[in-house]
Amino acid sequence: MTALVIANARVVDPASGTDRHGSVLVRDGRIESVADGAAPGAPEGAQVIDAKGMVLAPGLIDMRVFTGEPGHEYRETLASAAEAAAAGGVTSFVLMPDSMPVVDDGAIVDFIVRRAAATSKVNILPSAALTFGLRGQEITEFGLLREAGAVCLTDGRNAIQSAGVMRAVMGYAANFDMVVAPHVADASLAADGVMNEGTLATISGLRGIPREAETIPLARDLQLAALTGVRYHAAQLSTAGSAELVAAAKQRSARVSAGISINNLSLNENDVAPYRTFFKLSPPLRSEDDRQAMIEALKAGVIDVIHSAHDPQDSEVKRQPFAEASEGAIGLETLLAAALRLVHSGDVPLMTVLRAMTQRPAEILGLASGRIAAGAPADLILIDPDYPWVVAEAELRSRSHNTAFEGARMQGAVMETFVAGRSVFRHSGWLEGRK
Amino acid sequence: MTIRQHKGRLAGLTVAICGDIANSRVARSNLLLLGALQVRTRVIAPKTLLPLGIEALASEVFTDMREGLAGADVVMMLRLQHERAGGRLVPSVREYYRFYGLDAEKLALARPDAIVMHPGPMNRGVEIDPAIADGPRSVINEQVEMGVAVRMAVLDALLAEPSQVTA
Repeated sequence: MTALVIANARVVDPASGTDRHGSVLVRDGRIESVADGAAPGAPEGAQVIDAKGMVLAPGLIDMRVFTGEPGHEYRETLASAAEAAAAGGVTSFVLMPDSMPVVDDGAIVDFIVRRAAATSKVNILPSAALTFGLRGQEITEFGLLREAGAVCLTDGRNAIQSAGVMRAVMGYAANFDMVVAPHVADASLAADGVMNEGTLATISGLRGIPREAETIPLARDLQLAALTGVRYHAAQLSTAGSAELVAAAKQRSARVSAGISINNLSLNENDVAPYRTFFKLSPPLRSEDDRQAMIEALKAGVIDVIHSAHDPQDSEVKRQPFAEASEGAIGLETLLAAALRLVHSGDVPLMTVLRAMTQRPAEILGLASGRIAAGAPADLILIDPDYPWVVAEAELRSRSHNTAFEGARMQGAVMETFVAGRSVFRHSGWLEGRK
Repeated sequence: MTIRQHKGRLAGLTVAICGDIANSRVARSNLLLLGALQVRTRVIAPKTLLPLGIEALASEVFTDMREGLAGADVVMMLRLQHERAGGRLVPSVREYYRFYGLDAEKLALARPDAIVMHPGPMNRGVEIDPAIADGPRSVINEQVEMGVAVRMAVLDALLAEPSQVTA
């Protein structure tokens, strides 16, 4: 492959904490060097891209993505999710095990690795189930799953209810030094709740999900994580109380981390108001106080990761009365733009937002990507942080269109996405209006 | 007795006990006795089969069998109760065998003259490769024979006159 130089860029690399004008030389799919200032002499025959001062960042790593393959390809295939990912600047994503069949066997992990390599333009990293059939009872073959290529363990949408099973899972995962990244929810407390418990739910006549449905099993998990020494990642948290618990656990152990869906970081329960089922999510959108607490937790490093929680659902199951509709929203294409809202509003620095989608996921999963450094894979994105656009569900690349950001005005878009040095997406508005 | 016959001594040897430590009387007895006889004891098991506090009984604790076998003079395998595989502690027999079953590849990490022991009854293909169980380095049959002799001696001592026992 010929060399590629991306010159005249604002290179933002959270892993090294640098934000500077410079250029990057890519060869054979890897970053060969990073240089300050104006472009250095490019090697002979190299392709040169003038970034015109746009932000050059590591490609995003999305730790929580559902598709419909295998089993529900009409919702999303690996290939269509990869298209959406590339357009959203996501160069790697962790695939949840909630497919049909469930990813609870090494042979299915192997299928996904091969299928992704054959059909997908971004890196798809399979996770594997913690328990057979996601039933929360019998632990799966973590060792064989790891050998097949599983990057972490999670029961996806399902939360393990039994503390005894969770202890066994953590003990056995610690054995293989694998990350356990569960959804945290107490089913008996969440019961048949459909949105955040509180005044709004009461006014709407909808059953609420108390915050304690998250904080109680989280407290349990954090204690068991300390007992077993496992690497524990609370996949998606939503309440101020959860942030306090994680902050306390981090004082004691460096093996604890936590994530949040961009939805819980940028929306709140008020968005649900007129029974809009595209805002029916798990965990539910919480109060504005919770959202503010999570922003503070992100800035303080208590929340490590922002993910899209991309969950394609067809209109058949979404256009239903609120209580009956399925949970979940797509998000691969809107992840970055929604996160940039936090930057433009002055709430969170750009570096912090990018760190939660590049450096931290890479560190938690043990990936070589997520940084702009010599030797790292050339998974890179060019961002125009001010590009204005309006989310139109019909234009989104995902096979499903259940976005929580329909009609939203966004500021900032990915202009070009590179995976292993190859351009996999180029925005039609590249360089429009830029000097 | 079996170890002494083959190695000529006990003190200074490294004995690795591998398998279902949590549910094993054999492991506890051996750890206490071998420890008292100046043997370096190691236990090897997945974390789910290691009882809390085991490090008080064993010199070293391993969850990776390859690391645990390195340089061992004696490899003592324990029976995995079939019922325990497929559940909360061990997911399956095939995974257990892959990571905690004694096969030629893993045994090659122990000392070249290491002997293989098992209190029996064995699950061939679960915790031990049949070729190892019945191979030249296995002293399992002798161990069983010695076990009979030791039990006879214990019974004899218990049935004897109290004055003779203390003597």
